[in-house]
Amino acid sequence: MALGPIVFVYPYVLLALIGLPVLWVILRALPPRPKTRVFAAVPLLLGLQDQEVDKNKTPLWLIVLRSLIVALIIIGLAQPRWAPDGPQRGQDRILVFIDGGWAQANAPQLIQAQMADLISAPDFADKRIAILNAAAPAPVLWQPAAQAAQNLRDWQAAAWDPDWQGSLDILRDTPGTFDVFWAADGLDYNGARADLIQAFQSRGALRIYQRDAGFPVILDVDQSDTILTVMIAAQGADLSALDLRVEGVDPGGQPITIATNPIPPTGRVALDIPRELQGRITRFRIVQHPYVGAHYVIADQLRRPQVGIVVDAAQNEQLDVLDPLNYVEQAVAPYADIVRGPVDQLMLVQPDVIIAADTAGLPQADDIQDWVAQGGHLLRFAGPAMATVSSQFAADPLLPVQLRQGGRNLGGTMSWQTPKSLAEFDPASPFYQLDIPADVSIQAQVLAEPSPDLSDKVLARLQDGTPLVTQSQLGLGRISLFHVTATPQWSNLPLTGLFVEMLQRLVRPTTAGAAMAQNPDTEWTVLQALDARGLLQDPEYKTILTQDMLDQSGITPDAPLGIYQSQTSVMTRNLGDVYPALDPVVWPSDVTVITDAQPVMSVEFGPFLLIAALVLLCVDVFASLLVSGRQVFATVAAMVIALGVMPDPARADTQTAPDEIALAHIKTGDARIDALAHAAMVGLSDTLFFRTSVEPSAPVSLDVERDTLAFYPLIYWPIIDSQPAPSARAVEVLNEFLRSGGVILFDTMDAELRRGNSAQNPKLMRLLQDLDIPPLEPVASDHVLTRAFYLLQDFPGRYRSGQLWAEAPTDTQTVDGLPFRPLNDGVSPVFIGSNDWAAAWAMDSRGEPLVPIGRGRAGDRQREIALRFGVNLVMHVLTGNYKSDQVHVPALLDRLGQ
Amino acid sequence: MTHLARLATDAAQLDAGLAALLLQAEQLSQTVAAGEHGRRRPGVGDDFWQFRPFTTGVDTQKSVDWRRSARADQLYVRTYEWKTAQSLALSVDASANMHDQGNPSKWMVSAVLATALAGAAVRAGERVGSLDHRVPVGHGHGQIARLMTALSQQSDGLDQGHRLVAKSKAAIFSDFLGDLGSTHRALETAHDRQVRGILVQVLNRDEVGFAFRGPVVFADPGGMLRHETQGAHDLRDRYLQRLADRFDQLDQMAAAAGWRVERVVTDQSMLTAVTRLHHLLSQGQGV
Repeated sequence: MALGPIVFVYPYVLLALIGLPVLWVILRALPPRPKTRVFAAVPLLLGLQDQEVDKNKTPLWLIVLRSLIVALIIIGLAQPRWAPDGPQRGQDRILVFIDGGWAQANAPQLIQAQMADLISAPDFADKRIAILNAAAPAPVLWQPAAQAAQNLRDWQAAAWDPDWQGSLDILRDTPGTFDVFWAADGLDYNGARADLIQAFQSRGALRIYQRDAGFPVILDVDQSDTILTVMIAAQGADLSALDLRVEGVDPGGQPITIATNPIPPTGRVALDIPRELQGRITRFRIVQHPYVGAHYVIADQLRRPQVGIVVDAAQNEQLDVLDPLNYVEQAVAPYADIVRGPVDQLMLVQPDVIIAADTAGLPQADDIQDWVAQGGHLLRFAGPAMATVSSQFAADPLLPVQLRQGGRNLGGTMSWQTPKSLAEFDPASPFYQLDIPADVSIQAQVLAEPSPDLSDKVLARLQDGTPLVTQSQLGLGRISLFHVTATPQWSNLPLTGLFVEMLQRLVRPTTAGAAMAQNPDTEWTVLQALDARGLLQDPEYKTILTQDMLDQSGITPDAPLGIYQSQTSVMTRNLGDVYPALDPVVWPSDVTVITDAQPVMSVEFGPFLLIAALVLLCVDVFASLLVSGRQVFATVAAMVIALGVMPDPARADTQTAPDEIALAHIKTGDARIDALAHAAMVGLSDTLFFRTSVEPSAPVSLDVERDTLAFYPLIYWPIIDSQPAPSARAVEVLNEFLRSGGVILFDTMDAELRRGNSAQNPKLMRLLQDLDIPPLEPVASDHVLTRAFYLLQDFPGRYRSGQLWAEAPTDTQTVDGLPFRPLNDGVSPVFIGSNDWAAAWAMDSRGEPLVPIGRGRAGDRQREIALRFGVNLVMHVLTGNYKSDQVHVPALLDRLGQ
Repeated sequence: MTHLARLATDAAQLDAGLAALLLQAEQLSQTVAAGEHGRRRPGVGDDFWQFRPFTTGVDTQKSVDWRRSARADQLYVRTYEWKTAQSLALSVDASANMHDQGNPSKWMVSAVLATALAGAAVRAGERVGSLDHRVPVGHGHGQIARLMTALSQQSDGLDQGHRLVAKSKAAIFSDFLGDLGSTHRALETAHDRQVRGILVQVLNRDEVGFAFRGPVVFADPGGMLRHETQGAHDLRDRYLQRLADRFDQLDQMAAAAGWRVERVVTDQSMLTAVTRLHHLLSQGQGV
């Protein structure tokens, strides 16, 4: 339902507004709740009757406030949206048109989310929606929005171009009018969009949703010796702004070379890679963009093939120049790794190509046959030996053609024929377009037996049509034969550059493929195709495509990007071969283009209404308190203000500086220990209050991490294992406390039953390792602690065996025959013991001891001594060396003249 | 501890402003305790009373005042005025009614006043104790601490009147807003034992002024009684009338027993109040 520019998603909720007047009446009738007052003189009031009842009613403004709250909630729940030009003005049917091509494979989930979120917005709840994916056009199906959104989320981008013509056909078959939301990838596709734009606009409004985020592509890879130059372009984004990482990876997916930012604005990334490493690179990719456009496939353009050269043991004694394969080796060496050896060794190496010179027969023919069938390439050269052996050759499976015995000589002294040159290469030949030098002459050759398929096997001929190079398929591999020797014995071909190039085309099929791609009639089949994610997959079916068809079509399911092979060569088809550059689309000016940066069409403001209702509800709470006359209002207001002012409310509420001296203990986190320690402080405070002029106020439990310790002269710290070590800040505070004259009594509460004495308690040592603790020694029998208030010999708590440790005196002087300890004003910063004084001191509020000590009378005595120790300790802390100063009494008395 | 500490502090401050409280006593209790009240007859004491002739068989030679005897022909004996101490029994109502929300609460005001009076009396050598005999009457500053502890216990001791030292003094602190029966019985008992004293009625401002408006539920601190009204202001006049009646009733009850009633409002100066009480106990007519 729409109300001007405001749209309600659930308009029926608004019916509840009818109930507002009823609420009004009810609120009017209900008087405010009376406040409760504690009043001691109630007996005097009993029996008094109100003279005028019902004189108090809820104030009008409060009723208005509450009605407003309810109205806001109702309207908020109806989910209103502010949509001044929202799509609800549009038609009832919407076609979501997605390019769906490789360019959107970069981030398909973002496009899914964008479009699905768009149509699952409540604005479209009652519309019929159809999805048309241009990459795979299918007849449209009008669906409810929710279902269409679900389908959109299942949509996947394709690895090929959108099928514009197919989409147009579908569109032509779709009757009626509708609005179109077009999720476009931003490429122009050679103006293919123009017809569609026109078709869409004839049906209804057209909105283009085009993502701002660009997609980088690898257009080309050039090789120049050890420098590989990767050409990168990006659509809709500045290259240098993108965070890209270009990798050349080996077949296992491991990066061989990596180029990272900054990518130069030209998009040319030069990588210097040794040739040996280059050979392992099978493709380049951009790591951050795992999609088809950011992958560049390399078949074996960069690979160094491994060439095995068959060496006869008998020929080892020859000079290099007489080596029958010397010329071949020289020709292949620049781009191939050469392995020499007898056949049995080469079989272990499994090279890509095996080149054999003129031999009557190869040993281990079965092994070689298997190797060829699995993809090997056997390249043989003819020669006198091959020519003389004939009959058994007829069945040699390691020759592409059957040979006639004897061969023939051309232009010899016994011949009428002149030496022949080569005929032009066929377009189907891997040697296509190689230049034939004029001075090539063939003096001798072996001849093939004529057969129906002979012409298919011939790659190169002499001018008289006799084969020079033949090749046949065996399994996945090939067997090639040069009908001449590999030495200048039969021809001068091995001396020409042509020989080098011919060998290269045979050994590296892609060099041949590049040449054959020049021929529009070359027939290709797909060997492996890139899918949308940029992974090479075996094609589901193979179509034979001529080079011409490949040149004409863009990227289609039939002609995907990937690796193609022809009869005798291999070719790669990468994005740069189809699109030398990326052309951004230019939309007509009358089309609405929405990018990410543009605001959404409608604003949902229901939540704001609900928040406003919540705020008003809070106001109502205070207002109610105000009406019922409580003082809470001022209190709460003060509280709110205070909360805003106080930097650390949690801290402020726990600690206030005591106005009197107070004892304190550190909270350990163990509730039982803490309660006992607090009770102990209460007990000691009471004892001090009753017995001495020290009258402490209520004791305090301190959190060492948060509280200020400086207010307390003496802090009792029970040590338990579960207590965490203090933080660095707490350690600093503790050190400051100790330096400024504070005293801490550490109590390990274990009566030294643990290993070692109390100062060696492992937990205590961990706690103390950061504190500035002076050297310690057991409290001496002449320590001022023994006479600060009471005269004591020992310091028992719940136990009496533990030793009490204090700061070791720095130096002991003797004044008038009495020991005098010029300590830090007589007060050690720490006392460490293990007698569990808390247990002995702990008292409840009635002054009764909480923990039994010892047995019978003796236990009472021990508790008394423990309390006396506590009194002495507090006295010692507060008065320092006052009692020590009694060493001066003789001098003082002397001065008084007595 | 803080409770008592504050009581001690406040009472000490108040006491410092008071002269020693020598209880006014036209009738003295028959005690042997030495004190400051001259009995106008010879006995144990410090002040000279008279010389009287030596009576053989009664006086010992040690008692002869030889200086006086030397001026005459017969022997004289110096006698001293018999001085005894007066007792002051204190009672503070520590019921929930007294522990109101005020600062200070009615109980605190009462306890401070009582402690201050006790302190002043002790300084004058009088004996103080609590009415409920939790703290028997006695001398010395130790009494004050014991008395403070006893005052905070929940017993006003009004039913212990028969254990009062005859002809002693008493001060009962309460708001006297509850049932007056026990007060009446205590006064009768006191009257029988010739004990005179003061009823100190401690009230807070709300109870005196009744400045309430609007709908209110009044609940007594014990939580037993409730009274709900829609217009509290409307009840004011009638409440004040009833309060005045209660005052009259208490006054008559006290007058019948020879006691005096003193009213203290918690927000008034405690020094003024304690001065009035001091005056009543030291020179008050009819007390």
